[in-house]
This record gives sequence, C-alpha cells and structure tokens, in this order.
Amino acid sequence: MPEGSQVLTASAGYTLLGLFGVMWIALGIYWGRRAKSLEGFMVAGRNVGLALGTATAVATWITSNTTMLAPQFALQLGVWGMLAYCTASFGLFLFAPLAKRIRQAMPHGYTSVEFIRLRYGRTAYIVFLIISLFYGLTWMVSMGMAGGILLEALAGIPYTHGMSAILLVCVVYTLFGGLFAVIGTDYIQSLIILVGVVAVAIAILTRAPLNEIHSNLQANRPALLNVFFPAAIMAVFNNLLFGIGEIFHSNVWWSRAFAMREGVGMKAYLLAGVIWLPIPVVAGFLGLAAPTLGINITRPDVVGPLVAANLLGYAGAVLVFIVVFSSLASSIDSLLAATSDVVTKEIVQPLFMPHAKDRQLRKVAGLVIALVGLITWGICLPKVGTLATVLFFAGPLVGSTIWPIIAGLFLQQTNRIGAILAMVLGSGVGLIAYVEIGWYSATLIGTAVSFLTVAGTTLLWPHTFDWRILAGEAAEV
Amino acid sequence: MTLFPAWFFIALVFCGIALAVVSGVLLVVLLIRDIGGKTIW
Repeated sequence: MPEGSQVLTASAGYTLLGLFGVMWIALGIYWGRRAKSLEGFMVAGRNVGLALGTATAVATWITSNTTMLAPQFALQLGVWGMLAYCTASFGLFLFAPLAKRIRQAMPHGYTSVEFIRLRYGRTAYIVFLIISLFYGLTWMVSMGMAGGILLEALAGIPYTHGMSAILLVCVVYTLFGGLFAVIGTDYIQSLIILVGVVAVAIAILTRAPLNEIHSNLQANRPALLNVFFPAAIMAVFNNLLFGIGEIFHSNVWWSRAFAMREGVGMKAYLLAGVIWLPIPVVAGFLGLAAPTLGINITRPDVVGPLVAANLLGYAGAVLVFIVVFSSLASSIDSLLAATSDVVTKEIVQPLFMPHAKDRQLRKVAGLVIALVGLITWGICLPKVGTLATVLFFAGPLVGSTIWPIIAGLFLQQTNRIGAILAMVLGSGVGLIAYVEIGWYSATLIGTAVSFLTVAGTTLLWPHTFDWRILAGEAAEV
Repeated sequence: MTLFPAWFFIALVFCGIALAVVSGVLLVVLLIRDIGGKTIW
C-alpha cells in the first residue's frame, strides 16, 4: 500500500504513466499523418468541426488547477470558492463572438501576435509578444511543475521523473501531430475528465446526502456557507478578469479559432463555456464533503484524490490519477503548439527566414516545439516554489491586452498609440497595484486603466483602419 | 452570519453534476453527428 498521503503505489503510477503516455504518442503519430503541411500542423487544416472544436476548448481550460485546486478552494473559501472558480468559464463565453470575428477577419491567419502586428504595427507587436511569451512560458512551467508535484503526491513518483515524463510525452505527440494531435487527444481527455469527476461526485452522494453535508458545515464550519465571505467575493472579480485576459490574448485560443471551420467557432466556444461551468462545482464539492465523510485532510492540495481514494478505493485512486494526467496533458500540449506557432511565424520567419517555404517552416515548428519543451524542462527542474505567484503576476499584463484586442477586432477607429499605451500603462499600474494593494486588485486595476486608455485615445484621435490588411488583401501601413 | 440555505447548496451541486453528465453525452452526440456528416475535421 502507498505510504503517507499518496493514494497509489509508485509502480502503479509508473504503469499508468507508461500506458497513457504510449497511448497519447500513438494517437499523435496516427493523427499526425494529416499534419504534413504547415497549415495542417499549426491550424489543423482550418476545418475542425463542432465536436472536436468544443472538446478542445473544454479540455485545454481544464488544467490540473481545475481538478486539484477547486476542491482546495471549496475547502478554504466554501461555496463562494466554487462559484469564484466557475467565473473562469466567462472567458470562454465572451471569446465566442471574438472567435467568429477572428475567423472572418483573418481567414489565413495563424497567431494572435500576427493580429496585433497587422492591426497596430511593430511597437505594439513587441509589447504584446513579450506579454504573450512571458505568460505562455509561465503557464507551461507551472503546469510542468504541477505535474511533477502531483504525481509525487499521488503515487510517490519522484518529482523529476514525473515532471520529465509528462513533458516528454506531450512534446513527442505534439511534435508528430501538431494541432491535429492536440485537438484529437483533447477530445478523449475531456471525456475522461468529465467521467472521472462525475463518478467521484456520485460516489460521495451515495455515502453522504447533500442535506447532511450542509448540516455538518452549518454546525462545524459555517464560514464556508457564509453568503458574505469578503475574501472569496474579491477573488470572484480578479479570477473573472484574469480568465478573460488569459483567453483573449493567448494564441492557445486564437489558434483554435483559426482551426475551426467557418461558422463553428462561436458555437464551439459557447458550448465549451457551458460544459466547463460545472467542473469547479463538481470537483469543489469533494472538498466540502470531506469533513462529513470523516476524512482526515492532511494536505489540502490533495483533498480531491484523498476523498476519491477513501470512497472508491484503489479504482478511485487510479481514476483520479488518470484525470489529473489528462488535465495536465491537455493544457501542456496546447501551450507547446501555440507557443511554437508564435515563435516560428512571428520571430524565426521574419528575422531569419523571410523567404522560407511552408515546408521549411513546418520543420522549424517541430524543432521549436522540442526546444520550448527543453527550456520548460530546464526551468521546472529546480522546482522553484514561487511560480504560482509569478503566474498571478501575469494577471495585469494579460488584463491590459483585453481592450486593445476587442477594440482592434471590432472598431476601425482605435489607433496604434492607444493600443500601445493601454498595454504599457495597464500592465504598469496593475503591477504597482499588485505590490501596493494586493494580488486580488492587480488585474482589475490593470484592465480598467487599459480600458480608459483605449476608450480615451479612440475618441480623441480616431483612426480609420483598413480591414483588408488583416485578411492579407492590402499591404501593411 | 447569513448562510447559503440548504436548498441552494443542494440545487447547486445537483445542477453541477447534471450539467456535467449532459455535457459528456452532448460531446459524444456531437462527435457521432460530425462523423456521420463527415465534418469531424
């Protein structure tokens, strides 16, 4: 039997890691047959249907944080903790009309950075590229580290082994299959995650009725049911805007908008929001049920697996391990592909290979995936414990890009100086708020400053942008 | 201290589980439809 807080033996963990790793790689190679061209590799041939389009958005947005942190959030912040986490789905809902517009405005587009370059020019491109790469790498490193830490906590697999194995598996199948492999595996991973969290939640309901859980909380931990829980209510607004900023700016979501068939993007992102919405509630419920079930929580960060293993025994522990592995892989593969697209198309091509053919760029994209994976692995290796703080640091940076993107997609009048100022001032003031006031205010303030800047400069110095530039039908000015 | 009532808590969790189940079924139905219409990708 496993020791300490681990719910699986190391040998079982290695076996599952091996089985699923081989399966994802095999599927990546199989789907990779379609990814011979650059368009196939980077944007899955621009013909992805509603089922895969919806599932890939759901799976990518269900990170290991959603399945592991939601129970911890509920255990510490109660009902508001679950509700606060649910607001992250608003980013998917609100991105739906943008996805439609992106597909129409840039029928041959590849990246979000390309949009900023064409829409606002070179200086805005540099600012946005820095924000985009900083966020992408930070998210990827945090996922890689989370992988190592979680596999160690769940099965006692040493951190370096678990982190390396997860990164290697994701790099290999993304390298072979590009976005085809990412989207295909995302579909399977989203179903695994849904089945896993529902199975555990139903198992809890058979042992402890909901009114009993409520009574227990009311008697012993009433703060978790408090309608006015200030810390949790503040977290709602910060999470909401951070989530919107993450989705609106990141090429992870833009590449999917480019990949989906005309007319699919808006429906896919709306459906993805609906499907994602209940996950924090169902997963978070595990945390609230723990005291009623008499489960001793030695580590709040593994409350979900502990509850599952207690209720469903070894099968539950295996299920949780697979769910966590799936939620990690579905995010890491997307980040690898999206970051590789940005580096290949927006750094390598313009700087070193301006006349490169698509076939050559396809090879470069593969090399960049391997390189990004290697850099991520190198940063993950020392297991820097403060990375979550760094990710929160990215909140005002990504928040500052929300309004330049929305205005840039829908308003001809927004000008490049306004967009640059919005990103620089929004990020700067947001970071000052982060230090002077607290993390919970940073994104909110950064986004507000960005909005005022975009609105003010658009009204004062209206510009007339030629939409044909985005479609590649007119030259850049 | 004003607490979330039991009915709200029960409705929240039940709706969450029900929506997650419907979501899983919906994803399968959509895939079957896309395969049938040869519009998977």
